[in-house]
Amino acid sequence: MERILEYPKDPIITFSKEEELFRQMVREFCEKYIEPNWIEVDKAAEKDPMNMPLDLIKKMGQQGLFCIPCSEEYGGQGGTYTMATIATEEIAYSDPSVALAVYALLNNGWPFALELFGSEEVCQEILPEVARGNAFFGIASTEPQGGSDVAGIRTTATKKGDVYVFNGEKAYISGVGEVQKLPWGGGWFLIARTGGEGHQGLSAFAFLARKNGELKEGWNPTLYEDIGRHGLTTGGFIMNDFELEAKYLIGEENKGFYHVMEGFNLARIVVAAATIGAARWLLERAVEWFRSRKLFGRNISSFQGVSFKFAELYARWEAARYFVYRASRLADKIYMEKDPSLNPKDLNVPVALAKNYGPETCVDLAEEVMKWYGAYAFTKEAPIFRAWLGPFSYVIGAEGAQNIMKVIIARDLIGKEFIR
Amino acid sequence: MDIIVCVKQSYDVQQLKFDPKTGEPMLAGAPRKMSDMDRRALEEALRIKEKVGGTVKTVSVGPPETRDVVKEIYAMGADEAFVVTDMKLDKADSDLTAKIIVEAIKKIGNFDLILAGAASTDGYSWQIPAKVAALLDLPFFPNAISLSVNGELVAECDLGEAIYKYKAPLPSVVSVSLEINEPRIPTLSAILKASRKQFTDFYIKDLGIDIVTELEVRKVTMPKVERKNMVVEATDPSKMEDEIKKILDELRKENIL
Repeated sequence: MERILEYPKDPIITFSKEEELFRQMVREFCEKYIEPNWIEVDKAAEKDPMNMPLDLIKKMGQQGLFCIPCSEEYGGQGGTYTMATIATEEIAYSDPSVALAVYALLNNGWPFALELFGSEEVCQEILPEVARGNAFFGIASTEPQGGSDVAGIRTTATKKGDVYVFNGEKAYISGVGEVQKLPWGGGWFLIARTGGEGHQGLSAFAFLARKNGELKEGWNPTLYEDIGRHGLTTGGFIMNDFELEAKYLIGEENKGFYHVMEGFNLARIVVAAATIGAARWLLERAVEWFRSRKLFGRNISSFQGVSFKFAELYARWEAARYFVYRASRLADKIYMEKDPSLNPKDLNVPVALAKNYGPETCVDLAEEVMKWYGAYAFTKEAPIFRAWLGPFSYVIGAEGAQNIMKVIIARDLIGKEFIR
Repeated sequence: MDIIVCVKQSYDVQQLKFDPKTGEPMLAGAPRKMSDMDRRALEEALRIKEKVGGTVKTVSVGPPETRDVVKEIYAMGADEAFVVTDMKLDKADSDLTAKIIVEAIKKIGNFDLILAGAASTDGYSWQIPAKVAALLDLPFFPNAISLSVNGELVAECDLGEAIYKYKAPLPSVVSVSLEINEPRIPTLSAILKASRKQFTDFYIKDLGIDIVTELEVRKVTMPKVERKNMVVEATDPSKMEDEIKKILDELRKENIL
């Protein structure tokens, strides 16, 4: 596909030669394997969510698009977090339904969070399979009563000898189908209650519902019919006395809330990256349309009602892009370079800005592009709606509701005690 | 099997912008990438090495920006990269480039096979591989679409009117077409490992060559494509068939139908 808009030349957010070459290679991969197939992937999985693009996932694994920031000893690429961000942005540009980008971002962000807090043995078991595209590893936090109130999680994990026994239900979880169908299986960075009330009673687990191709007992999944982003399944599961060996506890018992919050910060950077990738695709569709669509004897972009709106949305896209890469560079400094002047909490506001701004910009842009397209956009022949409904999942609240992002910004800037 | 591959860092012509007034390409700061056919030559060399063993070395000639191609060369899997750069080489003609490549190859040492893209993505002269073969006094097989090496060389070459199958002794020079293979896309870990690998920089003076070009490029401009903008007014439904015939006749006249 012809690239209509030049990627911004930016003296503030700069990329190393390795990062530039990596972006070029990811683009080449996407042009070859993702761009020609993304609409068919979306359509096939819309008919049946279990029609997931397993071949593409395998190819992406072979190309090293998962576990990018993870260590090579765990089968990762040994890259920076910014490299995961670059890959996610480019995948979303080539699949603006963002299904494949979300698969990739989950399997970069959460494996990296596992590596940060998990044991060597567990990382050694799971991460190489995720990196190769044989297994899925995402996040399972949300429950039927809500997602934003993490401290109110009800699923329990009770220690009995060498195992934890899980009871409860998780809802709106990505990857429920993939875990069942990928060759190895996989699971989630799952949060459950191991102690008393509140956030200090929560622990994190590498919860494997299926491993080595075998489903474990006590795990009862269900799949949802999503309105968009069909190429990645969403579902829920009930845990009935599900047993997990104690070694799968991530970090310390009852510290899971803190671990998952760091994981969310990392994952939200790449979520926002997916939305700026899809938004770049939308901007290009707009420009392409403006150059060919004529009404009243002139191009529709000669009407300032159209071109000014485009200019405003482009400005928002540039700002969102800045938020995204500023946050990922900061993550590099904290987690890769281990800059002693920074700590993980320094990511809170930059990440919340990116996660708040990126998805909304993308969805607002999609709505405008559909209006510029006119009635054609209301048909399934025009693919714009796919780039609207997929990113919309992140405005609704996946990986943290928009209002929670505002709470984080307000809390960190004004002070916790002043916003109660 | 020791293979040397000629690899050019060319302008990424798909991303080139042209001055709307003069029609000339705006080359300052224009993005570059490994020339498409050279990339296939390198891929072919790596595949041969994977089958029969040996080494894959590369030689690249051009302005200082040429050094940037080394990362991609190593990321694909080459063993050793050699580079000859000079500011003046941006304007080198095919004679001078071939001479420099040949002198560099002599310094690199023994080889069984030399591979190159049949033409570069930007200059597109189709001359370098043949000139390299002539200067080394080796057999030359142009525009190969398939290649195998098993003691001797077997190359299928697309020469326009027909595909010729050649068997030849080694060493030889083969230029490859775009069809020969689908080159690998390096992974990130390969890119990161490549960035830590050293390469050899040859200096022009060490090769004993004066940078003198006999060819002067006066102007490079974008071809102008004038559209015919033929309009067929088809407002009267009763005459619709005549109008359609008119369009079909025009298309036939242009040899489109």
